Amino acid sequence: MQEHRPSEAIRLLIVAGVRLYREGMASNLDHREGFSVVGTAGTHPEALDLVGVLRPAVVVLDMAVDRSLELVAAVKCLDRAVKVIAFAVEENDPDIIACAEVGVDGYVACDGSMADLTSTISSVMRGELLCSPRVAATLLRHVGTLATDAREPSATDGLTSREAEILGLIDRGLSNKEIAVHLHIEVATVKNHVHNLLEKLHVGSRKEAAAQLSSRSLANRRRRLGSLPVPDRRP
Amino acid sequence: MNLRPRLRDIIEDAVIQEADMSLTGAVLQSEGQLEDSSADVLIVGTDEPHDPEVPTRLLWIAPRMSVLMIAMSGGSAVLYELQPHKKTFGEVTVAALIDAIRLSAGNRELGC
Repeated sequence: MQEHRPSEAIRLLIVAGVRLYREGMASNLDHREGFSVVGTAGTHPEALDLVGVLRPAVVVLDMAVDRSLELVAAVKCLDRAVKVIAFAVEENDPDIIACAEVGVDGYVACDGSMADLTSTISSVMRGELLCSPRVAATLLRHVGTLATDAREPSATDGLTSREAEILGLIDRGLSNKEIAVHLHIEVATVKNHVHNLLEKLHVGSRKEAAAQLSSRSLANRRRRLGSLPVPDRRP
Repeated sequence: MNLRPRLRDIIEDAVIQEADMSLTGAVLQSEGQLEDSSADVLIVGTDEPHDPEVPTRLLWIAPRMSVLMIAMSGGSAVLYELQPHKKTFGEVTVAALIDAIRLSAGNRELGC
């Protein structure tokens, strides 16, 4: 995809399952200076086909479309340069984070106007994110949580990948013999790995090693969940 | 009334492109304003376009208006309006008069 130059109209593909929205948004945007609607689609497969054929700069996606998040991921997989703007996003943390994780470039809330949409498209094309303070706060909080998780020592730090794998199997309750069968290696080799990982974890038994793995995994999981407030789905 | 911004923008955009249509207002603060409105059609956003409660109330206030109820989802719409109803009888007989009275009462019961 070629880089967009400000003098060129931004090529838009409108994706909305409801015909009134699809046609209405297309007509509204096509009449505005600086925008050119190159196509519309009502379904996931139709949209994906048109992205490949029409090569739009921006996909405006009504999030009410079935499997909309999958569609964003598929569009990004097809061409990372295509910008995706999610329209009618519920402003709660799980939905915003889900959008961010699949690669959405811009957000317009459920009560957003067409003017909000055009401002968002323009800002996305400048490489900026125009969003509500609530969305910004959610995204920043999530980045902070991810960074904390990355810094947190893991129960498997210092172990080789094979030792970490065996620790996982111990945690699932497998015996040395069962681990050997599962990994297609000798029981003596498993014993060696178990001996080494117990030393590295400074624990005296398999049970303690498994407990350490479980407690750290649980702590990480609790912290991640704790960073997400309960979504407010009131209308 | 009660339209989400995107839906309102789409409808306004469509209406102003039609030579024989014009917008008389975008938002009504109260139903009382309807009596003074010159609009022929009132467009209302709702979750339940098939529920007659709101349009019936609006038509009671402004009987010469049509009320177009549009689902917020954009997926459906229902037009409500009052229309004069005419039925012509042939030779007037007592039985025909009774039928006319019965038909009229029946229509009222059905809310026609």
